[in-house]
Amino acid sequence: MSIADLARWALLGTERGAAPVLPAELTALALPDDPALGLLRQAAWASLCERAGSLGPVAPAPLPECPPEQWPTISAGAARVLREILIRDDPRLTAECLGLMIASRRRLDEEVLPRLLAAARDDGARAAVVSAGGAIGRWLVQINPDWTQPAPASPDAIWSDGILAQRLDWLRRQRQLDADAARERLAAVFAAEPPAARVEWLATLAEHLSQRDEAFLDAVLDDRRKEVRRAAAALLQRLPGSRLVERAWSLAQPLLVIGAGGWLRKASLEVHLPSACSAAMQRDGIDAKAAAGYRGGERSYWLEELLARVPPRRWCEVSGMDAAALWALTRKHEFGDALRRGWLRAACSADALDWIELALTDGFWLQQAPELAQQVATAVGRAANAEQRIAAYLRAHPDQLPDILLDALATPWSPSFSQAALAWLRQRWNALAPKNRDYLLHANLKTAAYALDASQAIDESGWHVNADARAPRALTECFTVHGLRHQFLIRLQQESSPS
Amino acid sequence: MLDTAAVLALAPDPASAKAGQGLAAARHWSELGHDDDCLWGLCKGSGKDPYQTRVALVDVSSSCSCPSRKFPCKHVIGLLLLGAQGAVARGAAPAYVSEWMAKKLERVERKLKADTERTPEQLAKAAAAADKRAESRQERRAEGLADLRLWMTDLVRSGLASAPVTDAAFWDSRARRLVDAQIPGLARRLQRCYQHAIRRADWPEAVLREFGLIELAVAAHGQIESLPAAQRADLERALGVAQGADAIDIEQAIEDDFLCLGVSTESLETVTLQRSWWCNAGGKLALVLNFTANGLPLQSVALPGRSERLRLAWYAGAQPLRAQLLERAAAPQPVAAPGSSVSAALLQFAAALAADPWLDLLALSVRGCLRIDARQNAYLCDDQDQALPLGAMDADIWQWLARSRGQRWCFSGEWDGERLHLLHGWPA
Repeated sequence: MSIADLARWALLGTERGAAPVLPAELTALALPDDPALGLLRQAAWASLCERAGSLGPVAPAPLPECPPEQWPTISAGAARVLREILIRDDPRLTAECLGLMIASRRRLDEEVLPRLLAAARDDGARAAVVSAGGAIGRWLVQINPDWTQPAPASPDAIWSDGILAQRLDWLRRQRQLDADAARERLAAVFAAEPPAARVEWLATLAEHLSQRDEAFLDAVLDDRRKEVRRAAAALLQRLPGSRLVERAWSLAQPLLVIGAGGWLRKASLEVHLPSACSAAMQRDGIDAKAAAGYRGGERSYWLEELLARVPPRRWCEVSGMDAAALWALTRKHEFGDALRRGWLRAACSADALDWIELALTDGFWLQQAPELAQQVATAVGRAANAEQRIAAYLRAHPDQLPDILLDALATPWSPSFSQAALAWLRQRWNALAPKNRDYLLHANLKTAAYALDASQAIDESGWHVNADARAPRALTECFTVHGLRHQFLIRLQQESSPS
Repeated sequence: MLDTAAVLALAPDPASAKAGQGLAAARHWSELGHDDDCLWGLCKGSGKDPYQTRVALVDVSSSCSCPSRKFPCKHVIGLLLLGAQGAVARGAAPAYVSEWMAKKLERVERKLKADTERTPEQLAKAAAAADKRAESRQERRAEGLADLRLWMTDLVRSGLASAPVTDAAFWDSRARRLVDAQIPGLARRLQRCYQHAIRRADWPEAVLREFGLIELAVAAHGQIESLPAAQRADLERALGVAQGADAIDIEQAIEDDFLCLGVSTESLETVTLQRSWWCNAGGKLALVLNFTANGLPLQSVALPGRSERLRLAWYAGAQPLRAQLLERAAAPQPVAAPGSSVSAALLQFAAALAADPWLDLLALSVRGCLRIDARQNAYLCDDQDQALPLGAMDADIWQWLARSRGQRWCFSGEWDGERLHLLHGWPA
């Protein structure tokens, strides 16, 4: 490599270094009076010879053969819509399209597959692309180590050496397979974990929570950290017969004296506030002092906390009254807010939908802190007939903006609920002042864009748009996103249906 | 009318494409229409009056009354998308469209008129002025080259190791002097030296290669008067002298069916350069260059893999390569992809280099399959197991691997003497 020898000389400088030994044709170009210029001419000749005489290296070993495809690619029409979707770089839309393709046994075409594999943000997203990519997708992943999922580490290695997120993830999966074994694993190391991590560890037990977890959780109530005790108490109050529930019940029951009504007398509710927050109450996650900003005194706060730990049906059982009658008793009561908040929190823990319905009906849930409103929405979204309940709510409250209720529902929405939600949205849109509606409804429109049943097209003509104002951004985005979902689904269905 | 993919490719950035998609619905528009020449519509915006958007269909030039600095703006993209969906009905062009078209036509006519309506005295005067300018340019160039040679020899005399080669200003200041001396071709080589110095482990060799070719150009320029016309043209191209229409050999123009081997684009300082490579059934190669100011969309002159009936005239050169597209006709006979072995392709490059030592790139077509080694370097390998290293392992290579499935295809690409940058492929 003459050029390499010349480069070393040039690096050192012709003044300092001696000329390298070169082939005769290069030596002939040397200029004794001006070695630097001679070097440049030799470099010109050497580099030209090198470029012109390049032979190319020996080929590396052949790649493994790409197996034949089992599924056909999506049609040109569906691929065109998919390309428009990919331009938006929207993982949610992309994931939906991939899922639809896998379900209809169609695969991605080679034009978009490598781009999607490269753009996948995590292993889960890439696995979906590989599934929708057919044989060629699996083959590409096989030959590109960047796209290959690393072999899973052994469970013991993750548990002993993994970072917190990996260990939490492992325990969550273990909980699905064997809830008791997962809890025992956690119990063995729990005390040695840092306090912030202990709260996160407890959250993994929320899935598959059962009476068998009670002993461990009850022991955690002795933890030094308030946050840890509170997290354990929140789990224990979801277990209807737990000792924590019984302790709270024994303290709370004497505090409410409920007189059932009859022909000649009105129902009555007499409330005796707790006189102190005992050490036992504090162990069960109740603070001696109410949180800053709490509307009410300390004693009403203790009452609310006790009520939140007792399944609300117990009050029906002792009073012989139904939930609606009990709820009505609190309306004008001095401690009505604390009573209703306590019952509502307990109802969310116990999935007592009859109580939750009461809070939804009178709008009490919307006046609460965001965390409690979110718990209500989640409990409604978990219910078997969640869509019917929310549809009824929308009909009864046409003027509210229940973003979190719509967000709590599983997606995509059913065709009938999609129609109901769309009708409600359109009515809200047309009723609101043109100046504010795009802003006020943007969260609902965004949820609807991804959740509405994709097989139905949106009739855009019924939405009032001010001809003189700028195009409403949230509405336009909703129509565009839903339009792309609809077009992709229709094109996929057209090609999948037998002709 | 362009199709959706072509319209989205016109968007200056993904945000414009997305915004354009949002506007591709009839509710945003009024007075939509098109005729044979133009597509138009009024789009609601944040202003009091709707934006007047119009697109000339012949060259996809467009105009919009919105204040956006992007070109084309989202309104033009939205309008073109609507057109691509077939959602725009035919109609008579309104005044704001016909006036715009008339102004466009007027500009073209005015330019033609300026070129043709000159008296013989004016022409003679212009020729004399041009000669004087050329003489002055030649002097500046000679001075600039002498200065450059002195600088390079000083550098290798004192040693490249002691020079601040990783400092952009070190190369830029010298490159700017070359641009002032009207030698932009060598200025680009110096700027490439900076890239070598910061990116390559073997930068001394890479820099010395560039210096060698620069010295070759300086030495050749010293005897430019004695060089044959073809070699002189090659040297001028290496120096970066703009080649005018007089450098085109119209007499030797060829009309034939040509296959587009590929199209590549490169951003230079103020312009974007598009190279399209063509080849006829006899293996005659043509490079058509297309320049456009930065920020403006390049109108793709060719679709890789498609045959077209073209009339091409080549610029002067020892082995003419750069060509001017004179005419385009419809209904060509398809031209088969001209794949060869790696050694035959490298011989072709050696022959081209022997004719023009400053040749940077040549389109090669090789029949073979794509492979990857253990270090994730990609190669194009022929049937004799000889390989051409490919450019960086980027999305394009994975795209071609997916298309070809590792099977034997015919691939074309730009060979820079070290690596092949894939442009297109055909099933073999």
